[in-house]
Amino acid sequence: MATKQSVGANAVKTTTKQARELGLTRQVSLSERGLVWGLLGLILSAAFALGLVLIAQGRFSSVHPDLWGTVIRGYTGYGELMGVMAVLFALLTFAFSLRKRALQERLKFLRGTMMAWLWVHVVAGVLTLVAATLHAGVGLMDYQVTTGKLLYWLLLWISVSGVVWRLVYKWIPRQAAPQVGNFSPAISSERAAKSELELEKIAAGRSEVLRQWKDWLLERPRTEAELQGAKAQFLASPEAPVFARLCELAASRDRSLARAKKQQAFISRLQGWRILHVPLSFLFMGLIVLHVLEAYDFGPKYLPRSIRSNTALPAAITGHHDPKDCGTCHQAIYDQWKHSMHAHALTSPLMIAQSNQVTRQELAGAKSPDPKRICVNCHAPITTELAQQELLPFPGGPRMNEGITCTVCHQFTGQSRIGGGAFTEVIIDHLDRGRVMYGRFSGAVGNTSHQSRVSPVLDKDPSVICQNCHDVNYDRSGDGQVQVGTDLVLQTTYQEYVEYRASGGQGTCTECHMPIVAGAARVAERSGLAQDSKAPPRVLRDHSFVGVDHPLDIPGAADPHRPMRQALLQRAATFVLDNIQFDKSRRRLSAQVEITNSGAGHTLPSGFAFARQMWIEFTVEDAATGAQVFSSGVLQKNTDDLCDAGTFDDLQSPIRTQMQGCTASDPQLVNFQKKLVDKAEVERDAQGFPLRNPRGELIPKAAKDATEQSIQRVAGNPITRRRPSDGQLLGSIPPDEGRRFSYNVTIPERSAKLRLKARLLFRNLPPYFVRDIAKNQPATEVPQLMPMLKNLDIVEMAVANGALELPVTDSDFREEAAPAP
Amino acid sequence: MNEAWIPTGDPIAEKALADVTACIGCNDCMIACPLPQSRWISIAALNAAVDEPVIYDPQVIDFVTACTQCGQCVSACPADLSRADMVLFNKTKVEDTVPDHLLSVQVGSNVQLSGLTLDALCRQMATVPLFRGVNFQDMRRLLLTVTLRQLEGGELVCEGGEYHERLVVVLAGALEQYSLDDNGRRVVIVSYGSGSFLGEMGVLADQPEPFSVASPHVSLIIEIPKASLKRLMRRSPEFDATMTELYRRRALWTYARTPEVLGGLPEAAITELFADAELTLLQPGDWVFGEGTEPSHVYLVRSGFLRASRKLAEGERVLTYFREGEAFGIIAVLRFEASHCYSVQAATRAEVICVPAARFHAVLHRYPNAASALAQGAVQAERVARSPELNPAPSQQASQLGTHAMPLTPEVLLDMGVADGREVLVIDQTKCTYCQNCIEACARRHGHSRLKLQGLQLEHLLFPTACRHCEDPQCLLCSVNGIVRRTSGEISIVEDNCIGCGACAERCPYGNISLHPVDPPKKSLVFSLLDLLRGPRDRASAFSLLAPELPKRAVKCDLCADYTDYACVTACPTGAAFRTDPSQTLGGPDSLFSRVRAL
Repeated sequence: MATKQSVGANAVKTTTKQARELGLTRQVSLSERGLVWGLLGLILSAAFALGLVLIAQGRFSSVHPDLWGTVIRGYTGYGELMGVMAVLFALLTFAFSLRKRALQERLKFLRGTMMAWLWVHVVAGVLTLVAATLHAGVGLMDYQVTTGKLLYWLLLWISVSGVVWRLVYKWIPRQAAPQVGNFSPAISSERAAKSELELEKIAAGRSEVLRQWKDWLLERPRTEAELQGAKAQFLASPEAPVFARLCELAASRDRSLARAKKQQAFISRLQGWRILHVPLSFLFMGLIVLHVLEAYDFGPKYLPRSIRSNTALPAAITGHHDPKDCGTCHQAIYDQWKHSMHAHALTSPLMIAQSNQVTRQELAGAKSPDPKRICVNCHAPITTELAQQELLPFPGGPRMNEGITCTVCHQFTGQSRIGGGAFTEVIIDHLDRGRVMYGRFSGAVGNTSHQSRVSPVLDKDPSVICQNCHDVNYDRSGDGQVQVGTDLVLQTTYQEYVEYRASGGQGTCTECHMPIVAGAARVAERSGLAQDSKAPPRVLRDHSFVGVDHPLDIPGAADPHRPMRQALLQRAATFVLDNIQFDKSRRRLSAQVEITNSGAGHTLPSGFAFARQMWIEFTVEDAATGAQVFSSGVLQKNTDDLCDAGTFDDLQSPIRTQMQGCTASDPQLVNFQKKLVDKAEVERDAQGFPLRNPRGELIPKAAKDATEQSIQRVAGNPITRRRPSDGQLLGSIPPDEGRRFSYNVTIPERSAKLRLKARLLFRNLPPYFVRDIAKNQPATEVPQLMPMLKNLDIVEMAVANGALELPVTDSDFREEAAPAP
Repeated sequence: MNEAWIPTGDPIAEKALADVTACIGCNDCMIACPLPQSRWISIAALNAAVDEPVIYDPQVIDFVTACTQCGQCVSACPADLSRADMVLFNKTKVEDTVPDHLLSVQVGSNVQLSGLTLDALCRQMATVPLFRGVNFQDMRRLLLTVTLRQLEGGELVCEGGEYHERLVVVLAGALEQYSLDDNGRRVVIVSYGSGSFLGEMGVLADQPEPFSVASPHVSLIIEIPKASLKRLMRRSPEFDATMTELYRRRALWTYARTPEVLGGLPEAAITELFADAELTLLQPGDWVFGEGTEPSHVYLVRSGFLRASRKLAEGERVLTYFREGEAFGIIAVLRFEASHCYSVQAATRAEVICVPAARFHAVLHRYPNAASALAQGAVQAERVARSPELNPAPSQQASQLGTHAMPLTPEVLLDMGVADGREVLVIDQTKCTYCQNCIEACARRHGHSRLKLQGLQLEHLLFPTACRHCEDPQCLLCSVNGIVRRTSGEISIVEDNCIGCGACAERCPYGNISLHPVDPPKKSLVFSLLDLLRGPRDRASAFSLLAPELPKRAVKCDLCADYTDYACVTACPTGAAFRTDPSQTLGGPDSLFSRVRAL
């Protein structure tokens, strides 16, 4: 059976030939031929593909390994080029719509005909898809929802619907022309209405029977058999010819109606694609803008702080990356960081209480650069952008109270400065906000989450970034220089490190505080599909940032980093007990303890040395009875205080009342903790000239009416304590320096054999210090410090034992004690 | 009633007076009138004015002055009166009250007062032979509509090929008709002195001026518009006769000067041949001669198409078509045949020059060399028509595509008037996708779409309702010049002149003129961009809301005059729409319209 289509196709062929013979055809110019544009599209596609091949072969890697390496991603050089191409072609494709409408009369050049423009539209559309595919590269193959992928899927639908639409344009009219002639359903309906009107006119005034049959005719199209039957009714009637005419008109009306229906069906088939193609295209053009803004980090870089501080918005807009997101790929590193003091920098209860008291009491009303942020600027640089209020903790949940996050080091591209983190906000001002993460490895593997580049800061010596915060001071004199003595100098760790390096020290910050993780070879071990390929073996450094501190809100022993912390502390010092002597006549034992800072690249202790307790616990015991003959620095509980004379005997000091576990001061106590006083001046000689220590620094000392404080007063300073028994200076021990301390003990008559034990102990916070801050803490402040006091952890850094046989006679003797291992 | 002033024997005056008596005063005619001035007066006032020798009522004067004689009132009258004649009568009275005054003269693009008064010019014109028999009053009315022009030396009146459509009378100085030779130099063809005239073919036959006309020195001319001239022809039978005779003579003269006609006959022979030739104007369907009638003339086609056919058992069979520049009936006369072996009938409006057989023989006898060449040409021209073997009957009598389309044959193209068009829009339905871009593009360019996708359909080709710019436009009879042929040939609505009477729309045989509200104001780019989001229907309704009572204007395709492209054709994304000039494109080398039309 010859189908309707094939008959139609033949008819179309014949009539087209006739039209050609009569010259009734359109002269098609070169620019109106699909073949020309198709070829041009193919050539361009081939050029793009060639570029891809050359990139994949690494031909341009030497230009810039991060941008022109073998990675094919939207953010690499080739990817970006293809992205620009895709946008240009998309605009060209969209220009069709403008040329057709708004620009029809306005376009001055390249007007062309819409026939040419439709081809340009089709070819540019396909080229958009080609360029977009090359732009996205392997990035298309993961499950993360991004504007890029959304765009790509939209584009795919638009392209498919467009190409199908164009094919429909080619084929449907050829089928429709033989069947309906043209696409004017209005005319067909008009014709049907005319036939009906004519029919009604003829039937008007005729017999009742005829008019009934007229209604029967109009009811629905009748078959030939039905009509014959009906006509038979009128055989004898004079109205037979009238009825025959009615039948003709009804048939004509039905034909017109059927034609109108068919025309409408063809129109729907031809133009129905609009419903899919056009709205998707508008969506696409809108989304392109979003995508480009996102790709070039418009939100993080240019949106006002008020919008960016909304942590509910995605990081693509705010630029505030949730470390948890980083953890999805870098899980090991995230887990290390999670328990670090960097992660707890803003949630540390002592920090919260102390910072709030400084803000309330000391810095209220101070001017810009906002000194009220002095603590937060370093403790949580990113949060300073988000939070509006001054008192901690910031409202808004955990995201608002993250400490030193991944961003702080891995998006910082500025110049590190000693102490720069606190006042000048150097970190915030020099963050490269957005999707680029800076690290130490060049030639990073492409991935979905971020672009990787070599950090200008971490590149050679990652230690330099530490200086921003690990030196804390306040230029009290305002002379632009920080000088111990005249300015408030609270922490000099990095300065100490610099001096250590200058005097030949080989260690670095990372060596101790970010040791290499043995056996780890991947930094993004959980990346899965997000990474284009497996990265080459990498050296992974520990991100626990192990130090002497531990979070006060968990018991010290429960801190997962305690073993590392202990090991770090134990590596820091060498500790010797020697020169054990007995003066028989005075029944007096003397022994010496030597402590050397042999493992730290800074003083020991460092940091806020006025709040670090490193002390020596020294005990002498009767070996036979076990009775304690002498003790210094022994604590009954971890919350007991050292009976430091500098604090206990300072009867004016309000902080003294917070001491527990002391009835009298311990004159021989060796406690390296510095003393924070509210008023300080410098040591002067008899003539009144300021004295300087061997490093050339002025030596701060407490003013006459100064008292010890638990919060930093602008006029104050930490000063070095002296040992009451012999006036020896205590304070921090510089690298590779040693201190020797003597203990003198009067021995009871009955003792025959003595056991000596010296322990070097470390506690990150003195309990009286914590109690004093807690005392001034408002009852409504959360967290309350006092209940956490019990979590204080004392770490044993070193132990030295000794023994002494006492002579049973009264004769003089002298015995060297064997040094403890 | 004082009727003493009424000129007796003036048919219009008599009709007006009779109609006043018959008028039933229903005022329907005034309601039908498209003029805004019609709202201020009633038919009673107009009737009353008929009886007045001089009209003083300013509103009546305003109205009759503005009247364009469009005739909308005529069809509205329930009493079957031609109220237009009554208004025309009143109009002439108003015109006659214009006092004698100094006329303005156009110099270059400036207008100055001339030294001539209206009545003085009337007296001067009466001496021009062309206007012999025209009475003073009619001449005065005519001169109220003319343009007096003073030309500088070398100033152009019109370019060759332009549609000038004005009768030019030289009052002083001279005009020269010239063409350009191969080197671009002017070659003067005819020189027109004082009192002579030109442009009558443009006015009478809707033809472009064949040659450029310029003034060699300073000259004074008057230009009479076509409508005024036609009115004068109706008023003055003597002038009408002069013009008709002039037209006949001029037509024969120009025809004889086209080199392709009548082969090698020398000019003297042609002049002799045409001495008693007749110019016959034929309407479609008029017979030239029937099959079997005695050959009495030879026929030369001056314009239009004529169909040659022969009676067969199954009916009339069309054999061929004769067209401009061709001749027929020569062989029968040359061979002294007793009867014609085919019939000839006008297929379109056509002009045929009939040369009596005796004269033809006489001329050929004197020029034997030319005779054989002429005979050869005639055999070739009439080969198909005279062939004893008939071409097979055209197979495509019925459409390939079913009942809704007519077959695509030259016959149908002629019968349906497509061949009359100069720039015909065609839509190839095997490519059309109903995207409506052509319609929207037209609307975007002109404010309203002048195009509807409906109309004549021949097989897969749709000839939609877009102006065909006919060679012989019937729409042009507009008395306010609301629709004109541009000098370049396009038929165009002059928006400032059109009053929306719709007379042209009624006259167009193809229904290609429609009435639309005047164009809405042009939109800014922002609004045009917004149009992207809005359908055409919403847009139209939005505008009708903004300006609900816009006056109407006639709207039609003007071939995108003033633009470099056709909006509809340019906008077609699939190449379905195109324009074709049937006179140029119809037919390949072997088809019916093979020979290129002579100039």
